[in-house]
Parts: sequence; structure tokens; C-alpha cells
Amino acid sequence: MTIQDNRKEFSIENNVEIKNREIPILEVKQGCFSYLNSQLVLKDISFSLQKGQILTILGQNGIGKTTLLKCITGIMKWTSGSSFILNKEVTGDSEESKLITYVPQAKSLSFPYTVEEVVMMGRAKHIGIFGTPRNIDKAIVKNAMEQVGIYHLKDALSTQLSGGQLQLVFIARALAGEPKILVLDEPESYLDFKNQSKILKLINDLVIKYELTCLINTHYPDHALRISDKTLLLGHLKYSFGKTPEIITEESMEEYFGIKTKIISLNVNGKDIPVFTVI
Amino acid sequence: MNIVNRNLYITVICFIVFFMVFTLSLFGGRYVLEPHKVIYILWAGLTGELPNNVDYSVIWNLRLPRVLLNCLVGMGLALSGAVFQGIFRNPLVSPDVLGVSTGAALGACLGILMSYNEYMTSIIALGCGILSVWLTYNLSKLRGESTTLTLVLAGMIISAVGSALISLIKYVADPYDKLPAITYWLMGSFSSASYQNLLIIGMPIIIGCVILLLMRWRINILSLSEDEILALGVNPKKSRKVVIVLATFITAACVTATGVIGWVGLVIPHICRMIIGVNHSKLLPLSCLIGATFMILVDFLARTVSAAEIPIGILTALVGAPFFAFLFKHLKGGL
Repeated sequence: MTIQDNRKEFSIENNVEIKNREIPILEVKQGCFSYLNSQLVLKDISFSLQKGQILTILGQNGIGKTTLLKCITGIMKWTSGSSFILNKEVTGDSEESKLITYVPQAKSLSFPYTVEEVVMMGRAKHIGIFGTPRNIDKAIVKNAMEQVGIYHLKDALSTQLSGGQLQLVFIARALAGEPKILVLDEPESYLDFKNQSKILKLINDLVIKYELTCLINTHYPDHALRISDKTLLLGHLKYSFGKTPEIITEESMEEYFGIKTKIISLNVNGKDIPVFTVI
Repeated sequence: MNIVNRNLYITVICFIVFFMVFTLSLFGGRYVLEPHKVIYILWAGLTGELPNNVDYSVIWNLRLPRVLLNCLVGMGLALSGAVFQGIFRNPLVSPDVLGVSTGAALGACLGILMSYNEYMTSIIALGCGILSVWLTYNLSKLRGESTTLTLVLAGMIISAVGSALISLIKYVADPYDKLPAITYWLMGSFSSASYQNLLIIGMPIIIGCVILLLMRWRINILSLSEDEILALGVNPKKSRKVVIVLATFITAACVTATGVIGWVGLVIPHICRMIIGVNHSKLLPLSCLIGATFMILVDFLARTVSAAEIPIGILTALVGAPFFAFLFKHLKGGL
């Protein structure tokens, strides 16, 4: 049984459990966003996610995917509407915002901190203004680095890492914050396909292990088909949200991206794998 | 474990060097005292005896407060420089980036021009330093939210206006009496050091340094870009304001005490980064220590090398700049 099957089973189990309580871990209600004095970027976005689910967000460049993630996490403020974690509204300073961690696109830091120092920064919301990391923080950071497989790099300078390594460092930093919801902005961009695959598998593993809920911006429909339960296709002032196989179709790809595509099912070792290609 | 050991060695060595420099600097000066006499006077002072009045006074009322002021100013400038470089994410920023030095200098020049006494001049200088940062901050908000870029730009504008006003004051000042006083003050000097002076200047510097040192780990977070800080679930606005206010107070107090002393706030944090890395938890305490050591050393040169005292601002630049160039060539990383 592959890890993915594991996770699917896990999320079904969870759905049963959550149905009893019927509290979605993340819910967005009528989210609208516009920059000052300009047109709407996001209009009336509503969706909800259950614990353990992975949501991928697809859309063209500049359509507002990153803005959407930032609004959901509370980094930017919705112009109207709100996001809720376990039925409580997320605002900049609320306790709920500690449960959600955003992993920005990997770009170099302004100072050459070591990997361990960068990952330690993920503990910031748990350490007070006058505080310094304690032993428990160090243990959590060590564990986060081990989970992601970068412990051997702990004394390396973050400015000398490759793009793939830096992405892993940022994921470890997010994990060190002990979030319930992990939000990743194009985690696999700038990586070669081996590292892309590695990152996706890692995200999958982490979701199972830490019972995370995960939101991912991506440019790759096949990645969405591979790992996500739900997909949100974002277009200009419109979107569609639902189960991934029902959302990523040849018709919707043409509607949202204006290109002709083909999705076929490939049977590998008795398992059906959806394959996406542009024609 | 190696790194922990290395940091421990560095700290111990820096402390030893600091104490050596501190002690040795009490032995030198234009008033000649044999080393055994200095030791005797120091010992006598500690045990409460009162020997020969002049010798005693030179050590306890001139050299000691002066060296203590060296420590405070060196520590303050180096620490605020490291902090400003961190939160503005720019290693080329110095403590006067927000116009505080120019503002304080302008205040002091005004005080001298108006023939106010020393305390009044200090208060005007401190006030003008803080006023100029307030102006900088409000100027940076003209186009909406104040960001680090608009802050630095506004600081340049305020500094330019301040320098022009200083030139104006020099132009109208009496060339036989006031102008030399203003010019010497601008070049920096520790000669006005006294215990009273230490008390006035020491308070803001010590309070500011202690709070900034307590916030040393938080400054790591503040050195990230705005978006990244928010992504970590931390709101940087309040803590950034606190840090800027404290570093400004420290710089204003230093400039008020001694005039404009360049290079220390720029060079010392760099040297420390090369030695111990960029983590502000370690960088800030080391900057304090090395800043103080460097300042004692340079002031020691200023008062012993030639018969007339050399203005400290000239020496910090003459010693600091080439040293910086040397480090720049020979050490990698940290920049």
C-alpha cells in the first residue's frame, strides 16, 4: 500500500469523525479582495475543508492565487468576508492565526543565517518579545529538521543552499511552528522533477503524520491530481471548488486556461493513475 | 558542540581583551604617571584612602570617567548600528540612518551658537536628535504605510536638511570663538567626560542597551521581510517601533555626549558578524563588547599619540576604514 492510499484511508476515517462534530477545520465565507481604489481581484469565494484534506489551488499567473492564500491566512485582510478556523474568525492577532502557517515562495534571506537559525524562527509565535529559544524549542526544531531530512545541513548557511534545499528549510520552519493548517505557495516551482516529486511526497507524508490540513498553490494540474482531495480553480472573478477529479477536467482546463488538454487514465501495477497532458 | 565551544572561546577572549584594554588605558595620558603610581592610586581609591590630590584626581576624576564614557558610547553606537542594520535588512546602514546624528549635531551647534551652558546644550542636542527621527518617521508616512525603504529615504532627506542647517550655523558663527568650538565638537571628543556627564548620558544608553539585548532573538525575526514575518504568525509593527525608538535614543545620547563619531556603528557590527555569524542573539552582546573595546583603544590613541588631542571622529575613520577594507578582503561570509 502506498503512502497516498494510507492518507486517503486516513481522511475517510477522519471525515466520519468530523461529520459527527460537523466543524470544518478551515472555512472561507464570501471572501472578497481588492487593492486600494482598484477593481476586485477575488470575488465571493467560499469553501470549507475538513481535517486531513489537501486543497490545491490552480489558476493563471497574476490571477490572485498568492493573494488568496495570504487572505486566508490573515497576512492580508479580506475587503469583505472572512476565514474561520474551527468556527472562529481568523484575524491578524487572534490565537487561531497561530494554527495556520504560511510557507512563502523560497527566496533568499537578507542575512546568511544558518539552517538551524532559520528553522528556529518558526518558533517565533511561541516565544515572547523578550524571550530566547529554550531547550524545548531546540528539540522541536531538531525534530522538524529531521522530519524534512535536512538535519545534516543544520550548520550550513541558508544563502548557500540550492532552491530545493531552501524550500525544505522553509517547510521545516513552518513545521517548527506546530501548525494545524499548512499553506504552501508554489512549493515545487524552480525545482527539477525529481525534487518536485520529493517535495510532494514529503507534503503527503507530513499531512498523514501530523494530521495536517494543507493548502497548496501550484501550476501543475498533474500534481493536483496526484496529491489533492479538493481543488479550487481560480479565474477572473470566478472560481470552481470541489473534489479534484471533478474539478480538473478537459472542459474546465479549457475554460480557465484557454488550452486544450487531455486527461487519460494510465494503469500501472493494477492502479489507475490520471495523466494530464497539453495537446 | 564544536560551535558552542568556539563561541565560548571567543567570548572569553573578548572579555580578557576588554579588561586588559580597560586597565591599560588608565595608565596612559598626557599627565605622566609611572605605572607603579597608577597601581598604587587605583588600589588606594578602592580601599578608600586619599593620597596626593592631583595624581588621584587625574586617575579617578579624569581618566576613569573618560574610559567609562568610552565604554558606554562604543557599546551604544555598535549595538544600535547592529540593530539598525538588522531591522533595515541592509548591512550598509549606520546608526544615523534616520537622521538622528545630524539632528543631535544640529542641536549641539545651536546650543554652542547661543552660548548656552553644557547641560542646556546636551538637552537641546538630545531633543533635536529625537525630533529629527520623529520628522523622518512622519515624512515616511506621507505616501501611505511607512516601510523600511520610505524610512531610509526620509532619513536621507532629513539628514540633508540638517547638514545644510549646520553649515548655515557655521557660516553665521563668530569665526574666532564659536566656529572653532562648533568644528571641534563636530569632530567628536571625550574630553568633557565627568561623572555627572556619565550619569546624564549613561541612563538612556544603559536602559536602551539592556532592553535591546533582551530583545536580541526577536531582532532575528525583525530582520526578515515584512511578508515573511507575518507568515511566521508574528505582528512586527509594535516590536519594530520599540526597537527603532530605543536605538535612536542610544544614538542621540552618544552623539550628545561626544559629538559625531562615525564608522563605529558601521564597522563593529560587520567585524562581529565575521567573527560569530549573523544570529543577533550572539551578535548583539559581542557588538557591545567589541564596540566598547574599540572605543577605549581609539580614544587612548587620541589622547596619547600626539601632544595635542586628536579629535576622535578623525581617528575612528582613519583606523576603522582601512581595518574594514582589510577584513573585507581577507574574510569571507558575514557580509
